[in-house]
Amino acid sequence: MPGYQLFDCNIMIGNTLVPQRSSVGSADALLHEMDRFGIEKALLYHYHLDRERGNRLARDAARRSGRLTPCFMLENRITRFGQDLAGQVDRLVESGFRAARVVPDEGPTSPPLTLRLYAIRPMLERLNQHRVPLLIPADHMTTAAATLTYGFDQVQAICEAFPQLPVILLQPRYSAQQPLLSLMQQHGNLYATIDLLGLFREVESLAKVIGAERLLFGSNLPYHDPALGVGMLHYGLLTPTQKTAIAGRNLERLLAGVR
Amino acid sequence: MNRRDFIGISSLAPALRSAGMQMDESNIASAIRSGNRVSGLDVIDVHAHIGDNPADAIWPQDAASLVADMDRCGVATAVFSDLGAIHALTAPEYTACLERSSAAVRQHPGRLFAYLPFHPHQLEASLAALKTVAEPASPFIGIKLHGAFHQYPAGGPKYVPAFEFGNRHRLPVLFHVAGIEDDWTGGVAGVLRRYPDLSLILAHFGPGEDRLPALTKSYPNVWTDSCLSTGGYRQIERVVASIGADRLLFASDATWNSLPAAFARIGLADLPDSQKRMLYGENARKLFTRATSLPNRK
Repeated sequence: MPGYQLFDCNIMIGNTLVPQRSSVGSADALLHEMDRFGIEKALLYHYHLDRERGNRLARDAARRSGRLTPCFMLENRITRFGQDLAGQVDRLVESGFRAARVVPDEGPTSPPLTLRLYAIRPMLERLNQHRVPLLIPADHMTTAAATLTYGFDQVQAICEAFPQLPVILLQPRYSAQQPLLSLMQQHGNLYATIDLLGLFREVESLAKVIGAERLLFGSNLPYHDPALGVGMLHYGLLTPTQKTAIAGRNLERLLAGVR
Repeated sequence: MNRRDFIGISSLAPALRSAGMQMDESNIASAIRSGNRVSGLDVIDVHAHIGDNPADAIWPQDAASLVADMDRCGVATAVFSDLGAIHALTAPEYTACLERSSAAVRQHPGRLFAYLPFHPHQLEASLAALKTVAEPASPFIGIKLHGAFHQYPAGGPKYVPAFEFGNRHRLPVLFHVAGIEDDWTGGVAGVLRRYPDLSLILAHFGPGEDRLPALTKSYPNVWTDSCLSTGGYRQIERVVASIGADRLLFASDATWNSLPAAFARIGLADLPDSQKRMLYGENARKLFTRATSLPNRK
């Protein structure tokens, strides 16, 4: 059985303010790890408290190899006079980014990341207009943290208001199965990564109910072990067509849809 | 197939090696990256489950589904406990689930073996069942304690008969510790000290990778298993470095969790294949072979 061309939609390089136990510091280190796990391509962001600087570093890293694609870290709150949150979307598309994500701030003075429509509607409208996939971390959504930050209700509001906007939930956990199934059945623009959907045959069941074309491989390196998703794909009870789609074809299609 | 047969299979790995089927040092990761079965690899899953959900459920938990996933991954043997017995609210429910365990072992000889779930809130039924573990035809080759579900501490008196039995028969006891009361500050260490002949497997990396070395260094009769609903980057490598490759056991938690995900975590770890073979099966063979005092092992 051949391996599948894995295109990982969720990789961070650099390190966070509170360092990770194991991090991936550079593009070269990332490429080495990708080889170790059999990952062909990666959509990466470079963490930095200064989003602009992080985006520059992501673009620089991606220049090291055709296997790497940069993902834009969005500013999602106003911190400067005259700041135009929607304008950053035009700039990201012009500068070659094909995906954007939200990243929570670190540090005791940082407000919790929220995704309230009234605060970010113009930015979402512009993402919708350009069809730029919006990646949203979702591993906290079945915990109490969702009440302070954002959760499935905000995702539902975004998907409903902007039906042309591909919304990708990153690392939803196994216990999110029920809300995830309900939301994905209602919103054709909602996608999810498989890697933490770790219940027995959870990925297979989602593929059956929702369709494999809505599932993506996204390891969340260096937080999580990429082997989780690699194993689910290679050894899961899925057809070769489903595996090919989840491994990378779905992400390729979404990135190609940016205009 | 009974316990003696399980031990008999322990000769499988050396036999495979002498027949020229030994893996090259880099072959396991290579095979997994390609999605291939790893031939000649002896894989034992020490932490599996069956449960109430049928094969056509969104979340199946039946024995046949477990074995089908084992086949796809190349897992030879799994030792499971019945989730229904762990969740049982009455003695008849508990007993019926033990019957289901026996049936699963009978239906999948050599592939499935069972733990007896010892349920502190169904104590009489658990004590009655415990006596049968020593019988030659028993499908149970170890004991499962689920302190987390039962919210019962390691040092609680209702667990004493299970630990004493395990100690007397040198049985593996798979323990999902609740982490309540003094579990991690003294409860588990007390069990290890009082019952030096039982083989205690702390499920899910036990107290966590930072606190495991203190236990493994102090007590030779404790192991941990590798299953989690998620998994940290390089966690397997860190745990092996801190407690040694001989104290970590491959486990999936299937049919609760994904078997393919757990299987790939060991195979793709940044470790030599010699250590991966220990984690996948060699350690478990040794551990289950320690149970020498049961009647059918004479």
